[in-house]
Amino acid sequence: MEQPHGEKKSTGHRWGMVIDLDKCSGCGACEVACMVENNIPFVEKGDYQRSRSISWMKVVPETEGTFPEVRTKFMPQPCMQCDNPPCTKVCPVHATYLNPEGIVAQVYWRCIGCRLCMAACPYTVKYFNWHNFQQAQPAAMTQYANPDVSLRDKGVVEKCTFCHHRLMKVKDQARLENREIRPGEYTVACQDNCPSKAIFFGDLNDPHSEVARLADNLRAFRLMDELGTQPKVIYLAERKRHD
Amino acid sequence: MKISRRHLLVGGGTMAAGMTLLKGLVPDSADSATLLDDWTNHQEEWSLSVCQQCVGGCGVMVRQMDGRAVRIEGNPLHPVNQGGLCPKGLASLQGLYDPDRLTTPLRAKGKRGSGEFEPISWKDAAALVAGRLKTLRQEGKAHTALMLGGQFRGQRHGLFSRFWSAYGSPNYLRLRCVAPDEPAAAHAFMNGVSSPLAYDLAESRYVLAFGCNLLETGPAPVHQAAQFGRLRVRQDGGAHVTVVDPRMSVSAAKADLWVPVRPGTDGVLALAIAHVMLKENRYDKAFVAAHVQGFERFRQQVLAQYSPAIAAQITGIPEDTIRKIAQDFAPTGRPGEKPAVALGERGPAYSGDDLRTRLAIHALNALSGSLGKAGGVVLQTPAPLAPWPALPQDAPAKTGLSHPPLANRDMGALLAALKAGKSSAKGYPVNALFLYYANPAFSLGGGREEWNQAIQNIPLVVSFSPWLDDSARQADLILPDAHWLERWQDDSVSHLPGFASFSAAPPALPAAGGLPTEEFFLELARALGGTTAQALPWKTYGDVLAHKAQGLYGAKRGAVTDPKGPRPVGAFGSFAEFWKALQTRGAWADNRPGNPLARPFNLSPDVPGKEYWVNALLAGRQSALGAAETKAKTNTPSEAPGNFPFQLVTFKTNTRSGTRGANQPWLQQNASHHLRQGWDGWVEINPDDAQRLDIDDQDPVWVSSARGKIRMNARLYPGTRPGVVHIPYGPGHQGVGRWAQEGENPNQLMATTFDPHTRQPLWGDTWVHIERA
Repeated sequence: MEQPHGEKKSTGHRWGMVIDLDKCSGCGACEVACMVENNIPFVEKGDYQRSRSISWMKVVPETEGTFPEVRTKFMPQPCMQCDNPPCTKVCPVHATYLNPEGIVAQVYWRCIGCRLCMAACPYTVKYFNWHNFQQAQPAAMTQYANPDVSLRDKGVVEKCTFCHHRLMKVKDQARLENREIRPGEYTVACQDNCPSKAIFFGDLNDPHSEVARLADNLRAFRLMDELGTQPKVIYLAERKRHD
Repeated sequence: MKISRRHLLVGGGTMAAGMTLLKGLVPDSADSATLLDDWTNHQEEWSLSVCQQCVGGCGVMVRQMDGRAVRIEGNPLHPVNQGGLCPKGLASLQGLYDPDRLTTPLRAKGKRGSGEFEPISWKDAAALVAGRLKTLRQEGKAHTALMLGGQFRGQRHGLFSRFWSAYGSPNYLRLRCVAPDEPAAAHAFMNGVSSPLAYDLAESRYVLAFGCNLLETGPAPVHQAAQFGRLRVRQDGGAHVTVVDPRMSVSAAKADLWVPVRPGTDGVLALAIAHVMLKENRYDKAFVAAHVQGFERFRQQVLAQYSPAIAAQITGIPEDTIRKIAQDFAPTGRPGEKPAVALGERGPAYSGDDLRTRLAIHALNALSGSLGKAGGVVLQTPAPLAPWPALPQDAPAKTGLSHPPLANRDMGALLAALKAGKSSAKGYPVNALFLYYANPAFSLGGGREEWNQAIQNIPLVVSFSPWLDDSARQADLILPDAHWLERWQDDSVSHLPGFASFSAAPPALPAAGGLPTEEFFLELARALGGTTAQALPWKTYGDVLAHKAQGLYGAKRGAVTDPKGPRPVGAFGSFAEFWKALQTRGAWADNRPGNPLARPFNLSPDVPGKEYWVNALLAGRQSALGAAETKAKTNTPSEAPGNFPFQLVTFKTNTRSGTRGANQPWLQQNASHHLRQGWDGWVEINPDDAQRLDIDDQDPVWVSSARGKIRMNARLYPGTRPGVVHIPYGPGHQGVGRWAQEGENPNQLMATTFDPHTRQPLWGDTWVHIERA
């Protein structure tokens, strides 16, 4: 595993997410909740059609079969926050790295926009800023920007950070109060707003956490686990009820 | 647990926030000292409101930084959404800060409809409207003022209603395809209820939804998604969900079984299920004996006419599937068994026989004995809000109200009355038209030409739309409403959750220049004086809500949500204390559902029509089917336009929220999840049909009906029945804003027909022709 970046030592946390596909209603609230929280720009029609839209969380549909034997499955896909991430290994400037708490970070100011990490990511969950999108938009539409999260410039790659700014805030608060982070204190935007409560988030190293318990569920699986990426986003498969 | 957020609520909402500059993500820079200085002393504030992007009534929290709204999220304490929020709600700040939103009153310059407007002051605008209304009243023409209201929420409906009754016009009408605060006509006929029925989905054993896209566009989508989440993880394995819909909606995809019924034949399918239950003795006999009237007649006719074999021919659903659904849906009589529910809220038919279709669906609830049980069908109890005070009316008001209204929720009749004006026998020309949350030029079948023609002779057209929408473009005066985050917002959930609740919150943000329309009407009442002013004695809309909330306090029922657990109304020392808690915590709720069996359930109610409804349904559907087969006979690429072989069924995805939510780019970008298609509209075609017409995925096609022709891209979607095409409703505005105009409005193709009994527009009665463009 890679050397952690910077001077910080591991605090023993290992953040992970569990998504219960049986509870997921396919509504896509997670996508927009993430956009609001993380200052993700909208893209207009032209760029949308060139597949230049950015969606750190995306609900991917998979339709199989022919009428009337058709099924569509919906799978919300954020960055899988791999424990063995392929993307960090190819970065020539150390702009993307696995941090001590298991979050795959992206340093925008260091990124040179080569997009090797995008090519390396088997989940295609890293996104390139083809423009300075916010600058191109009417100024009024930047008023709702979240002041906790920086805007990204043209030419850099971005991705889901597990709402890392929230972790920083929670840590600051804990430090002020001279205590450890409480279980459940650090939450992410997609989880908070999920209408059917299908997204769980927490410390996989804490055996008492809900995510650790669910990760051991018989329905648990990881996407493309066979590649050896060791994702920390864990899915719970839909149960079969019909014949 | 969101301790910090709740702490903010408890602390009264304001504190200085120490801003954290993305430590670990952004390296330190020499500028950070100055940046920090700019960034550290900011005022963070959380305020509450009730989301108005649809009728769901979700509680929201808005995070503000120095007076700017920077985040919106679900209120974790709110009983409707419990912290969840859908894409529409989450994107609403894009509506708030939309550069195309109107914030000053506008007056048409030159000819109406030319699209040229000039700003005027609120004072002049109010004087103009008040002057015109005064004159009409003096001339004995108070009844010729018409206000059309759309799908808006809260007590403002009562306020407008009062205003027009005091003024003297019977023509305050609401234009909406679903009236969530009223029971469906079928339920009123069968159950004799006067408030809507509700479904305890999370605790039910089997959910049989007809045409109801519960998870996307149901009456309270976030609440329903929460119930879906709960029913899926129940200890007993959870409920079985079956969705009957010609199109595989997201709800159908998430269901355990999708039943792709032929459009408009849901009622026949429901009665065939009833047939199997009756024939195999699988209905709840004890329940039927105790509570059901008209059973024998129903039983005989259903057994005689609705065999699965006949239903299979009509609905296109195999006999075995029909039997299987009936057997799974039927009660087994095991002790402690949870009930099964059949629901057809929101558009199973929207084609001829709308009422009878819904009767057929609701009949299943009686056969399975699921009424009045936990996990079954319950009654929505209204919140015990204080009644409106007695209404003072003077002679001109009484004269005005003695005229018959132009229409009664029947848009077809209204359009005809508007067009006829003086020329019809009991009609009269309209002299002033007010549009609030209504955009008929977009939402009516037939589209803008139909509407513009209907209003051309009305001397004063006023729109309260905060966007220059399709209908506002044709107005003389636009008096932009404030955004819902800028006004007092209340909602009394009236539909589907089954519990009573009431939310009220003061404006979350100061108004950008628009004026809440309800405040405008209070002002107008004062300007008109006399009994109109006496009828609306409140200074602000907040005072109206305080008056209404006194009823909740007086009833001593229910509780106010609180971080420490619901606080019973009885625990508050005074009304002031209760009222303050209501505004700062989000909602009052009373969990006790009502009893839907106060009157016996009638399976053979006396409904309009000469024939018994069970017989009429089959006859109607058989003749419709005959017509459909004739239409679908020829279906080749060379076929001449004018022949319409495909049935058009429109739908909505959960990112469309009406005219007021149309200009939000995040929603445009996320228009659909099942196809991941953004921005444009599209037409969904079955891949086999497309192959015969030589159409590929994303090919541009012309879709034409007897009424119009639109061009859009084809999407090959196997979740489409052969012979049917689907176009999403929502894109294609003329106006509203820069992001709302992409795509085409399927209403341009729609037939303007209405069900004679329920007054619902029959969206399913349109047939189209498709060819490559």
